Amino acid sequence: MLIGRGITSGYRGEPVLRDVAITVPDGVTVAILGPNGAGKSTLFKTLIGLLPLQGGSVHVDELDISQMPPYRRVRAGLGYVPQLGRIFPSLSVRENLEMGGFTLTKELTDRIDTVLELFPDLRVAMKQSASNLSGGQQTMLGMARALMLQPKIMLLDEPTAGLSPLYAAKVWESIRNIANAGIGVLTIEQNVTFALEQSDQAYVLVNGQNTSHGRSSDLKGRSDVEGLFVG
Amino acid sequence: MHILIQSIGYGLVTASVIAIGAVGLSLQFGVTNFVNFAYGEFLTLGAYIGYFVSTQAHFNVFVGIVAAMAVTGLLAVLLDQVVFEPFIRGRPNLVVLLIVTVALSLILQNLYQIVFTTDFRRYAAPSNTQYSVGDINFTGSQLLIIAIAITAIGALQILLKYTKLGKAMRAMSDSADLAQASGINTRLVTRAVWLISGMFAGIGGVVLAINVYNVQPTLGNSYLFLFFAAVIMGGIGKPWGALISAVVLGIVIEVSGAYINAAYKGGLAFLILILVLLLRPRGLFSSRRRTV
Amino acid sequence: MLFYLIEIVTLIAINVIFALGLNIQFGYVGVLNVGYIAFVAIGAYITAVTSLGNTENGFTQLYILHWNVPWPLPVLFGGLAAAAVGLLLATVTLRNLRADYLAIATLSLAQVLYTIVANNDSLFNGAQGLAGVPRPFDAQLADASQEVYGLVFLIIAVIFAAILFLATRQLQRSPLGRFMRAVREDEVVAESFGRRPLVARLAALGIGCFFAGIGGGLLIEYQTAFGSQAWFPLETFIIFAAVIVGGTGNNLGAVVGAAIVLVGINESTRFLPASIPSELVGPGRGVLIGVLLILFLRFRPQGLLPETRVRLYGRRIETPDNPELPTPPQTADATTS
Ligand SMILES: Nc1ncnc2c1ncn2[C@@H]1O[C@H](COP(=O)(O)OP(=O)(O)O)[C@@H](O)[C@H]1O
Ligand SMILES: [Mg+2]
Repeated sequence: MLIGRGITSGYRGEPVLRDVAITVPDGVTVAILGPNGAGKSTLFKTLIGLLPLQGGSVHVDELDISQMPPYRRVRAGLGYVPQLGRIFPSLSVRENLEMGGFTLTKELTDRIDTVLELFPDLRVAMKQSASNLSGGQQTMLGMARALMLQPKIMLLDEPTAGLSPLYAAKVWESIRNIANAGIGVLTIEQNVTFALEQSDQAYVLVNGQNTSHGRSSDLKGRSDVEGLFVG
Repeated sequence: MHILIQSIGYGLVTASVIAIGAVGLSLQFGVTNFVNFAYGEFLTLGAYIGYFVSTQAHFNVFVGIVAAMAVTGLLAVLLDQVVFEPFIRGRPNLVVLLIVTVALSLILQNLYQIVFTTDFRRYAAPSNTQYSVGDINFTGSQLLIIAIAITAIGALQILLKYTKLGKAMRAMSDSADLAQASGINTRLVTRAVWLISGMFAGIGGVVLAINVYNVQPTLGNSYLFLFFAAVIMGGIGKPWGALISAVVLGIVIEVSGAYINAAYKGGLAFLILILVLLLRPRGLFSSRRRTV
Repeated sequence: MLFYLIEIVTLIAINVIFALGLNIQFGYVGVLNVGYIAFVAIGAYITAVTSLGNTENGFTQLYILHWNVPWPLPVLFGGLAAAAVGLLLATVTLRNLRADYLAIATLSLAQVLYTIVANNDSLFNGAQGLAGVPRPFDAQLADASQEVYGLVFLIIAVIFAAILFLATRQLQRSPLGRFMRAVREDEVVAESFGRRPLVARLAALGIGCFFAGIGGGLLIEYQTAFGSQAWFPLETFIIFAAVIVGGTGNNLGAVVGAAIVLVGINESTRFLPASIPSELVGPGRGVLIGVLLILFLRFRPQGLLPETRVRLYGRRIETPDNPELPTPPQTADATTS
C-alpha cells in the first residue's frame, strides 16, 4: 500500500502541489484525473523521489520513504514509468529489462522470463534497440522494466497517451493483470470517461490540490468530474 | 606524395592521443551531463606522474602509465566527491557547474606551476627504434601510442557493452532520472565513471608526453579543445564516435601541418569544430540533423 | 600614493566595464563565455591599429590597417569588432540550446586566436604585441605631469564606465532585458513572450562583447601597449570573480565586485611575506581566485549584492495586474539595446 500525506512539492522552491493526499491499496487500480498542468506528473515525480518533498510524507506500507533517493524507493517497492522517455533508447530491449533488475544477480534471466509472460510482444524483439519499438511497445517495455523488481506499487504516467483505442485497451488489460497479481497501480489518464470505466478508484487533481476522490463507478457521470476537460 | 603518406602516419599517432582524451572526456560528459573543463589538467598530472616514474626513476613506461592512472583516477573521484557532489545535490544551473570546472582548471594549472615549476621537463622516449609499416616510418614510441590507444578504448568498449556497470553507464547517458527511477544506484555509477574518466586522463597524459617529448603545466590544457572537437563531432557520450572523429582530426591536422604554418593547425581544427556545430550539431554520426 | 590611487581607480573603472559586459552574458541570460578575454584583446588590438597610423611612435612593429581615425572612434571600432566576432560565433554555436557548446566554442576560439596572433607577426606584431598606442588628448596634454594626465584618463574611464552602467540599467529594465532573464530562468516561460530565446542570447552575446571591446580599447590606450601575455586565461577569471562575488545579475554588484577583486588582488600581493619567491605570486593568485570562485558559488551563489528576483514562473506571469507582464512582441526592437 502507498500512502502519501500532505504532499507539497514543486520546482525550484515554487510549490506546484499543495497538501495532496493519496492512498493506493494493494491490488487496486487508481486513476488520477485532472486538466493539463494540474500537477499530476509532478505528483509522480515526487512519489518516486525525483523531486524533493517540501512538506508531507510518503509511505510504502509502514516504511517511510520520504527522504530516500529514487533508487532506494524502487528497492522499497515502487515501480515508475514516466510520461516521456519511458525507455533507454540506446540500450537493447533486453538491456532495458536488465536495468530494471539492476540489483538481481542469478535470478535475472528467470525474472525476465516471468515478466515477459505479461508482455509476449517484447519477446521477439529482445536483441533490438529499444528505440526501434513503436510507442505502444515502448510503454509495454517501460512497464516490464518497472516490474523487474516485483514492486508493490506501480506508477504509470499516461500509459495510453497517443495510442490507438485498441492498443489502449491492451495496455489496460496488462494493468488489470498486474493488479490481479496484488500490485497497486496508480495511473494518470487523459480520457476521463475511459479511465473511469477501467479503474477501481479515482482522484481528481485540480491546480495542485485534491478535489474529489471515490470509487470510479460513483464518480462516473458526475458533471464536475467528467466536465474537467471540456472547459 | 611521400610527405602526404608519412603525415597520414603521424596523423594516426596524433589521433590516438586525441582519441584517448576524447573518449575519457566523452564518457563522463555523457553520464553526468556537464563537460569538464579541467580535463586537460587531469592529463597534465598524468604526464607529470609518468615523467617522474619513467624518466626520473627509470621505471618501465607501463609502470609510469599505471601510476598515472591510479593518481588521476583518484583525483577525479576525489573532485567528484568533494566538489561536484555537494554542488549537484543543490540542483544547480548547468552554467554554475561549468564555471566550477573552469575554476578547477585554473586552480590545478597554477598549482602545477607552484609545485612542478614552469620548466619544460624532457620526457625520455621509451623507444627510438625505426619501424616501417608499408611506406610509413614510425618510431617504436609512436607504435606504442597507437597500441595503447587501441587497447584502452577496446577495453572500455567491452566494459560498456558486456558488463552491468557499463550498461548502467549507457543507461545514465540516455537519462539519469530514468536510471535512478529504475533502481540503479546512480551515485555509485557516477563515481565509477569519474574513476574511469580519470584513468583515461592518466593514460592520455603519459601518451601525450611521449608524443611531444616534454611536460609542462599547460600541456593538457593546450589539447583540451581538440578533445572537445572530437567529442562534439562524435556525438556526446558516444565513445566510438569520438574515436572516429579523433582519427579524422588527427589526420587533418598532421597532413595540413606538412603543408601550412604549424601555428594554423589548431585553427584548422577549430574550423572543423565550427563546421560541425553549424551542420551537424548532434555529431557526425547522429541520425537526426540539427534541431531548430 | 596619489598616483597609485589614480591608477587603481582607473583600472577599476575599466574592469567595471568588463564586468558589466560579462554580467549581461552570464548574469542576465546565462550564456557562458569562457573566452571573454579574447574579446577584450580584439577590442584592444583593433583600437591600436585604427589609431596608430603609420607613425609607429618610434617602435618597429608590424600590423594591419594603419588607420589613424580621431578619438574616440578607435575605441568604438574596438567594441564593434569584438561584438561582430561574438555575434558570428554565437550565431554558429547557439542554435544548440546547450550552454556547454558556446562555452566550448568560446574557449576554443580564445585558444586558437591566441596561437594565431602570437605566431603571426603581420597581424598585431606577434607575441610581443603593439606598443606606442596614442593616448586620448595626448597632443593637448603633452606638457602635463604624469599625475595630471592620469587624472584626465581616470575621468575618461569613469565617464565610459558610467555611460555603460546607465545603458546596462536601461537594458535591464527594458522588455529585452526582462526577456533575457526569462530565458535564463525558464525556456518554457520565455516562449510565452512570443520571441525566440535565441534572440535574447544573441543580443546578450553581442552587447557583452561590445563592452569587452570598449574596455579593451581603453585598456590599451591607458597602458599604451598590449601583448599576448595580457590575455592569459586567468584574466577572464578575474572578471568572472568580479561578477560572481559582486552578485550575478546585479549591475551594482558588478561594480562592487570589480573594485573588491582588483583591490583585493593588488593589496594581498603587497602584503605577502618577502620570503615568497616572486615567480610564485602569479600562480598563487590564480589558485586563490579559483578557490574564491568555487567557495562563492557554493556558499553564497547570489554574491554580495543579490539580484532582485522577478517572478517569472508558472501562470503568475499571465495575470493582468502583474507588473512584470510580458510585453507583446514588437518586431523592430529585438536587436537594439
Ligand atoms: N521541469 C519543470 N520546471 C518548472 N516547472 C514545471 C516543470 N515541469 C512542470 N512544471 C510546471 O508544473 C505544473 C504542473 O505540471 P505537470 O505536473 O507536468 O502537469 P500535468 O498534470 O499535466 O502532468 C505546470 O504549471 C508546469 O508548468
Ligand atoms: Mg503530465
